[in-house]
Formats: sequence, structure tokens, C-alpha cells
Amino acid sequence: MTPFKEKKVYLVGGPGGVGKTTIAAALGIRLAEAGHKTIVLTVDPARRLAQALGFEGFQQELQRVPLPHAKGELHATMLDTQRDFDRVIQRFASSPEQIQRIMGNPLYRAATASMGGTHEYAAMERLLEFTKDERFDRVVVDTPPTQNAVDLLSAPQRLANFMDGSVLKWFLGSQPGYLKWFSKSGKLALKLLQGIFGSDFLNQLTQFMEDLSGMHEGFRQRNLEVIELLKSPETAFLLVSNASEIRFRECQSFLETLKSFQIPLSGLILNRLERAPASERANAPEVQRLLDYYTELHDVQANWVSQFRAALPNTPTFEVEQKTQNPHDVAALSNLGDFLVL
Amino acid sequence: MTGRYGSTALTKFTSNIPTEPLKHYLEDCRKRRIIFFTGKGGVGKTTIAWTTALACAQQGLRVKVASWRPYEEGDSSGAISHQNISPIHLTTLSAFREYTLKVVRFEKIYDTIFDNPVLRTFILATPGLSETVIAGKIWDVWNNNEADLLIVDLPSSGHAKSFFQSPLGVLKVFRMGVVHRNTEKICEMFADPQTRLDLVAIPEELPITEAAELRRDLADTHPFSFGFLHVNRVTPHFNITNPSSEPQLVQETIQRYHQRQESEQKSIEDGQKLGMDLLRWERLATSQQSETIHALAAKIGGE
Repeated sequence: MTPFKEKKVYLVGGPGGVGKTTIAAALGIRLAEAGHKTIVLTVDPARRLAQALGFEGFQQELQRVPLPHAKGELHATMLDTQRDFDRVIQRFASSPEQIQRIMGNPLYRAATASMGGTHEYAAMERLLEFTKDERFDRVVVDTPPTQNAVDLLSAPQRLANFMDGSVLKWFLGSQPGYLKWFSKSGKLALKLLQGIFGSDFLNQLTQFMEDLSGMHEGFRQRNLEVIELLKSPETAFLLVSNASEIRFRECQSFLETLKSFQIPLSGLILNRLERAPASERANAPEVQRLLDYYTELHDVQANWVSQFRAALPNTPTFEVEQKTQNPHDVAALSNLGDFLVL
Repeated sequence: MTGRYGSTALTKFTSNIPTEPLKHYLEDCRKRRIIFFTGKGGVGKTTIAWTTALACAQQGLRVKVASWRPYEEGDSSGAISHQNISPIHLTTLSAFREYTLKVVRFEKIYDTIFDNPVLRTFILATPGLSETVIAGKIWDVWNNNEADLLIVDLPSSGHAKSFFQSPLGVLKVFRMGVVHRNTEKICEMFADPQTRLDLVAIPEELPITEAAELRRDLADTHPFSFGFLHVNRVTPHFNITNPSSEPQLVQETIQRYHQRQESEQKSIEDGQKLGMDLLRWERLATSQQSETIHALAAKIGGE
């Protein structure tokens, strides 16, 4: 197994709200400080990484984060589904006319604007791009806050499925032979769908599918590359969580998905752990109540930490303490990364 | 309730949070037919939604709780059972099936035509369709008066945004037909004065910022009546008068507590700028979500 610090790609995943973005930023800073040319890709529309890194908004597509004491470099970028998708279409389309037709279709705009898997797909697409970019030797991805890991990992596959034209063929019955039966019921389905959705929409959809034809092979190839990258020994999948009942359950389903994709877990980061309070007794009863309160919080958490450790006995586990304040600058983020021995 | 963190242990730290706003909250909930809850991931949307459901059910209202996750999985709120509460699990495929069956009317025809992988791909991948059929399912429950109150536990901010935006996209793409008419009805439900949209956050900078952005973005989608901003997991108040008389290590814990309180207070002040009613919920030393829900609901009920 490739040692943790020699990985090239770090995917930071986990349930929403556990501090993924902050951990990804801390990891990026630590890698840059260790001398690597690092790119951090963040996905969240709320621009949280920009905030955590202490600069307002991403002016450019790729932003260099100033790190005065680092031997390496840190770059940050934010996912822009619309822009990233346009680029994919430009790459796979066979002619400028095809690009124009696709981008002019209202369905295409609607598809890239909605979050149904397009965010996840665009994240994987950018990841692949960065691994081939010679300006960087380390890529950190702050993954989209998906309800479950399946959405993230299967996004390229689902898109490839949609693009492969079988939907269109099924409806139009343009395929001879084995699809004959389908074409018959395809016509019936089309009629029913027309009743429900109106013929306007179906015309647009048909046009859209026709415009996309020929691009399937590109998408299929891309999907295979993503899968290969995810399984590569140079890729680390890190699970970030908090130690609570709900997070524990969410992580369990996350881990099952990883297993089904045969992606090994490289590390577990238990973030925002409450520090144990003073063990001495207090003089004032009200202060003792405060200590009791913190003790109970800490006990509950310690129980879930041991549940996590028991569930993942062979995974390197890092415990990160709750800070009284959110890390607002690079120095605080770097401190947060103390647990990472790079 | 029994066990290590039974309800006596739960309430022994809950303290100075005034009960008057909770009374006002309950009264407002009783006037509504549908309440949506959303916010940043991991802030406790499900907890607050179920707490509200339980408190209303205990008042005798028939409550339905709709969520994207099966209620028995991923959280223990399934452990909340009350004769007046029934959960609904929203999935795209079942909502689509239900919806189409109203048009097709024969299950056998539906299953023959629609129950195949190609069409499943179409349903799941067609932009906006998934969100809209789910919104349609919610509309159905609302329209049929199946409950006094329908509580919708939405996914986190980004997904919630696309949930509310999708019907608008659908209106543009489907310019006629049944879908167009039905989607208009869905939009009417969002704008209904008896519909309320609540946001959930915790007293930290980023979740409050996200709530503020969400408030702004959602105001652009539909003329919602925005209700409450729930600030969850607030550290309880302890009245500490003379910290310097305590041992050194205890003083350090007190200092940590004060720092935490100060930063929470700042976030709460930022939350007040959202112009919504702000409700504080204390952070309890509970091990299970269901314990939290029971304890908080008891607080609303004034027990």
C-alpha cells in the first residue's frame, strides 16, 4: 500500500456539515508546506473554502493562495458546473455546429443548472483534468455534499448511460432486431408521455438526444478513466466525520458504497471532538454543573469514537479537537492539519 | 424514558432559554398546513423537523412527516412513534409511478411500459423531473388533506434550492400539457399563506452565512412566508459568578466555555439580521437523536 503521504490524489468525503471543506483546505496547506505543488478543488456553491482561506470570492478560475513560508505552492479552484460542462461538450463534440445546437437547447441549460448528478460529474471531470496537469503534483478534492456516496461515485456512469442514446433508440425504435419489441411499446410510451408532458417537451428531448449522438464513446471512456483513478493506489479516500450517532450511521452507508466500488479507505478523520473538561471538582455548584455538562458531552462522544474505531480497526484514524473558533486564516488551518503527518 | 441519558438527565442542563417563544412557535405551527425545513448539512434539520412533528402530534394534530431518506435508515427518528404521526418516504421512482398511474390508470400497462432500465434512466436523468414529481407527491398529500399538518424535511441547502427552482424550470420547458398545469398548482402551494419555510442552522459562522444566502436565494424563487430561523445546539447558559475562586484547570474549562459562548453569541446576532423569528435550541448531552427529539418536544409542550 502506498504510504499516506505519497498519494497524489486526496478525496475528502463524508456527510454534510462535518468540516470536510476545512479539512481539505488544511490538507492542501500542509501538502504545499511540505513542498508539493498542490491544487484544492472545492465544490460548494457557498464558497466556503474561499471564506476559510480568508479571501473573498474566487476572482479567477484558478487562484494562487499566498503561503509565505511554504516550499511548495497552493492553488484553489471552485467548481462551476455550467462552465465545466460546456467544456466537456466542446471536447466531445464533432463539429462547432453540434456544440451550438446542444448549448442552444433549453434542456441542456436546465440539465447543467440543476444539481441532479451534474455537480458530481463535473467534480470528477475536473479531478481527472488536474491529475493530467503538469503544474500540479497533488490534487485535493473537497467532494460535493451528497446524501450518499453512490451519487458521487456513479455520476460518470449514469451520465454515460444517459448519453449512450439507448433512451432515444428506445423511443424512436430506430434500432432493428432486438429492440423491436421495445420500439412498439416505445411508441405507446411516447404517446402516454405526450399526454402527460406535452409534445413540445418531447420534441425538445428528441432533438437533444439526437444532438448528443456520437458523444457517447467520449463519455464512456471518461467514466472508465475516473474508475481507474479512484481505484489507483496513488489515490487516497479520506472519510471525515463527527463522533455522533447520526454521523456514525451515515458513514456506515458511505463505507458500504466504497466497498461495493472496491475503493479502499485510506483514513478516517474524526473532526470537532470536544475536549474533556477538568477532572477536578469545582467549588461553586453552578461551575460543577458546567463541568458535568461537558463531561456528559465528552462521554457521549467518546462512546461514538470507540464505535468508529471498532468498525474500522485497520484504518488510520485521526482525532481532531473542536476549536473554540473556526479557523479563519492559513496559520490556523495549518495548525488544524497538525494531525496529518506529512 | 429510561436509560443512561433518560429525560431527567436531559433537562437538567436546559435552563435559561425562555419558553415564551416556544409557545408562540407552537401556535404558529398550528395555523399552518405545510412547513418546510432546510439548512446546511449536519445542523439538525431532521431533529428540528421531528421535534416539531412530535410536539404538534402531542397536541392532537394529525401530522405527516415527508423526507427523502427512509425514516428508519440513516437516523433514529424512526424510533419516534406516535399515533398521530405518519412518515412518508419520498422517492422519485415511486412518486413518478404514482403520478403516471393517475393518467395511465392501469398498473399492468405502467409496469409493462415504464418498468425497465431505459425509462428509469430517463426519469432519473431528465433535468428537473425528479424534483418536480416529488413536489407533485407533496402537493397530493397537501391537497387531499391527509393530515392537519405536513412537515417536509428537505435535503440540505443546495438540493433544497434545486427542489424549489425545478418547478420554475419545468414551467419553461413544458409550456403546455398536464405537467404544466400541475406544476402551476405546486407553485401555488409554495406561495400559500398557510405554507411556511423554516431554516435551521447552528451558532457558527458558516451555517449562519449559508442560511442567509438561502433566505435570499429562495425569496427569489417563490413568494414564501418565511417562518423561523432555528439555531440548534446552542451551549446552555451557566451562571458563573466567581471563576477566579476555582482550581486552575477548572478555570481553563470556564475560559473555554466563555470563548465558545462569545462566538455563539456573535453568530446568533448575525442570525437575527435575517429578519426571521429566531428560536434557540440547546445542545443536549444525548447519545441518540430520538432522545433529543423527545426532550426538545417536551420543552415545547411546556413540560
